[in-house]
Amino acid sequence: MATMRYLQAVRLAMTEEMERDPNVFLCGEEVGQYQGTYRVTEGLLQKFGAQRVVDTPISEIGIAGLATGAAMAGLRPVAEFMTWSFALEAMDQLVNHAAKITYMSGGRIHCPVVFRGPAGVGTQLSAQHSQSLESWYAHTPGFKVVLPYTPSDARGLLKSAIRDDSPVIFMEHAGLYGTSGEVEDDPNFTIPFGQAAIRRAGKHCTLVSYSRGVQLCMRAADRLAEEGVECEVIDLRTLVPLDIDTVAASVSRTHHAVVVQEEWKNVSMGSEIAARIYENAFDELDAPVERVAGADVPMPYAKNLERAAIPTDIDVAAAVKRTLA
Amino acid sequence: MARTAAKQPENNEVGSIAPADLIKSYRLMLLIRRFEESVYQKFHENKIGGYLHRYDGQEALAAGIISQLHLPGDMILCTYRDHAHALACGTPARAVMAELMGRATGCAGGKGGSMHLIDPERGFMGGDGIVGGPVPVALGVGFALKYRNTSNVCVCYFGDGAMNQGGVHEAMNMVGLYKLPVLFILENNQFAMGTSVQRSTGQPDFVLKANAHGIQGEKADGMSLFSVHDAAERALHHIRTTGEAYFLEMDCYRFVGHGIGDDNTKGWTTYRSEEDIEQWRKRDPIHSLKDYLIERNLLSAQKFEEIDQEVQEEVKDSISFAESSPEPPLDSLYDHLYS
Amino acid sequence: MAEMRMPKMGDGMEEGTINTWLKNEGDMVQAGEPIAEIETDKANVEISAYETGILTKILVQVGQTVPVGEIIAQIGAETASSAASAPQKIETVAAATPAAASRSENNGYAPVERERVKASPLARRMMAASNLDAAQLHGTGPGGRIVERDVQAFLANQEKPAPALAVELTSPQPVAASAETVKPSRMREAIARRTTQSKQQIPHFYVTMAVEMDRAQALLKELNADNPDGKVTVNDLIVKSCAIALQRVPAVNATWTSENTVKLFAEAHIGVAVGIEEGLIIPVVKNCQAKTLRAISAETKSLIKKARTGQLKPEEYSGGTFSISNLGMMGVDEFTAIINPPEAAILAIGGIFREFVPGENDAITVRSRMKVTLSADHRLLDGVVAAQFLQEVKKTLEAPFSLLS
Repeated sequence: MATMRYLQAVRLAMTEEMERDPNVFLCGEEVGQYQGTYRVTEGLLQKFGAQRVVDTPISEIGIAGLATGAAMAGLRPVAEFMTWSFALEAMDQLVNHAAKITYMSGGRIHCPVVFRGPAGVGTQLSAQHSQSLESWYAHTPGFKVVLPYTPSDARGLLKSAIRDDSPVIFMEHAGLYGTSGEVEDDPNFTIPFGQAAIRRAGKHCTLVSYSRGVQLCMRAADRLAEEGVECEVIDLRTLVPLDIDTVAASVSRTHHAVVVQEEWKNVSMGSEIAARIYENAFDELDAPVERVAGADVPMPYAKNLERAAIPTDIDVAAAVKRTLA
Repeated sequence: MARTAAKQPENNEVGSIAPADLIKSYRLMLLIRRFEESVYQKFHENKIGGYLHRYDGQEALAAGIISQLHLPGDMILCTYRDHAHALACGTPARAVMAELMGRATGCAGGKGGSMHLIDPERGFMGGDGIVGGPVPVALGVGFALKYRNTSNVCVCYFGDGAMNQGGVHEAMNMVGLYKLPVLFILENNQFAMGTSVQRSTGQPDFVLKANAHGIQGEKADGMSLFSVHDAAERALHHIRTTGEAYFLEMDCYRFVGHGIGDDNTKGWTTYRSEEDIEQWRKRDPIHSLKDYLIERNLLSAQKFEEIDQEVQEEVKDSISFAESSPEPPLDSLYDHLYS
Repeated sequence: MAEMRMPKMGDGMEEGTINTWLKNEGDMVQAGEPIAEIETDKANVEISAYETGILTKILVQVGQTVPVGEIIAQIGAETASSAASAPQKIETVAAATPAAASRSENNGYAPVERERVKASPLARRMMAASNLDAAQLHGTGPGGRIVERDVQAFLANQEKPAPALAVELTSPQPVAASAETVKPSRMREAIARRTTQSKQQIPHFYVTMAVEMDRAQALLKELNADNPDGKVTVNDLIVKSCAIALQRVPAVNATWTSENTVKLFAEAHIGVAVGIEEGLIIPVVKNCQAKTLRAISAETKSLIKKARTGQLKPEEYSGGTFSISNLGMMGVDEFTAIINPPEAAILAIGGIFREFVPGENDAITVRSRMKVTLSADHRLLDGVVAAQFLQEVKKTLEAPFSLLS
């Protein structure tokens, strides 16, 4: 086991997969010569050359088309969006092309592409750069949607994403890039999609989240443990496919559930998870599922307003208390 | 504004197209025409649904270019007006008609329909329902062809309306930048749905726009098989030898409405006159080719009759095949969502 | 087919007893036609059919008591051939038309819905597994929802050894020489249940004040001199006085809700306790704040008369926001009353007595004095507010012309 940071784990996954499979290449804005906006791709141009580490102009439609078309023609592109906020430019290529080509060709064309980049909210980046839009992609049939929380997951899940024959939306969290964790030594270590991880066991309430939301849940669980409330924290890891079985089994033990996310609350991943809990574990519930989410506003700039718009571990703990009332 | 002039075929006698190939092209264009003529009726019979866009008048663009490609190997992308391209790639009329009728035997198993015909084994990477949509994809396909060090070419068809889509220019810029083997075919049928080039485009010289992205190009007469063929021949030669993209603006005209909607309602009269259509019909690429073949005694009247019969039989056969084909099984609803 | 259910005829009603069936099985009934008389804890009322059809089945016999919402009879669809037929045949017809059945289920019984017991899905599953009725349990979750812990607590209680409890209860009882076990009336049962509930759940406290009634009595004399038929009573003055006091101290005209909020009422609906043979009933004079003394007087008289003859309609003995219990005519000095839930207070009225009281310079004077005691719910009222309310009552009764407005 080696200890490394989340962003290093993302880089390691790409390095290993590019070494393993010559069809894997990387493209995006500032991924090469600039060494990556967040230094995620640092050193890769030097290691693999300009043919496989492709700097692009600031053209998100072009990047998405480049990756989609190359995947349709048999390569395994990893396309980086500088942030997921910029991917909005490329929605037609993503939703109407990458996500649908396999289905609308009756399975005759495969599109093994990974779209990745940092997502998440915070650091006063304000309305256009600080947002979390995973439910847009989870909503679209044809995508697999992955949001890792730990460095080990970031590596294991990204390797699975690159090896997957379907288009994968891989959202890293900029706020987790600097976090450290142990990463397996095995260069073939991968984590399968659709398997949630139980980050902490507890019998009173199930906390369901992904990406940085898991961090809030772990902190809230620590707080609540001091008061004798034991929370079970589930890290979904992939939103599509969604491991509802693990969630439902946990709710069957705790009879209470709180769903935590950074993205907007309205018509969101949390809405979906709550609905699935009702569908799969209704008779196990002793209280309505509580949701903790970002405020339904464009992210404000002012520090105090931003703080009010982003969920905290205190919000999570309060939700747990509401559901246990 | 200055416009790039269409290059006339260097040799109107067209020694470059062997007579056998000319007859093959004639047969293909006639098949496309007869096929298209049959689909409205099937729509009216409610056997075909969705949008339905016919290619009548533009047949030379499919026949004159795709016939020169190396298939499989080269890859073709096109718009939603895509029946002709599938037929030109060699996709059986049966598989195309069955797809239009939403049958399991269709080329996309009934999942795609008229706008999403596809046949990757024959190099046909699909029709695209979004104006401008195939161009960024062609950038990627071209990238892959170069990445793998092939000498293959990606041919991307799109319309004059697509030239006003932002993504098209992002993609053309990157194709020019990376020097990718892409042949852009602008099917300029004068109207983006109901909006003429004059009403939609500040700079109507489209070749200039390609040049602006570092891509060479020229204009050709899309109503003449010879013109199309020769221009494509030059373009393909350029791409295969230099590895760089090429852009062909093909002037052409569709004889029917944009889709079955404005054809049924004569909606097309709001943007063009019957006289205009008559003028263009005089340049019908199929008639011109037939006249040429007759003038040169390349095909007897009886042979024409035989071809016509054959083609009509093929269309009829495709219809009865499609009509007798099963619909996709309901349990296939979730198939192919993921690979 | 329509189902007739035990209707809820008042806000405190939880169950009812069939007194009489006015129709027999097989009889044709018209919508709106009375089909049975039921006895509730407050009054006897007739209930009417909601649909026209055949009374196919009587499910609750005379004398039986069932909870509100329970099916007591079935009314089958009216068909030409069935009008004179035997009940069995009607049932066959009804069973053969499931579409009609579901329609009448939807339309048939809207006016009085069974109050939905709130319980979490888990609690429902646990109750079903243990064969418990939600009505037996007390919910402690948000909004009174029955949650897991409530079911667990209930089951734990059930598991306590019963014999020990019986011994505990029976041993201190005196061995009576002779005793008769009497089944209490429905009203007695209701009073037992509601007063127990009130005293157990509402933290009562009491404030007493003496009111000089000389001027009030003088006023009554004058008022009644020329109007012997519509006599205004001391009680009427007290009702009017309380109506004014409730407007001036609105905190008393309120209720503590199950959601732990306080609901303040704009209107003063004042209940007047009436002792009758079977027990006690509290008819309510609505909108006292807007009524003149004479109007209050006339209405109270009419309600008391109805109460004594068992003719009160449910709406006439429900919906009160405050109550008055007057035992003055019985020679009672003073007493405390039990709050009538969901009200926040009740005023207990003692008798009017001539008393020596120190006057100016401690000179001995004689006054007519009446002691009133307010029982108040400490969850929403404190001593000061209770005293303010009594001061207002005292002020108007001691300057009674203010009651004539």
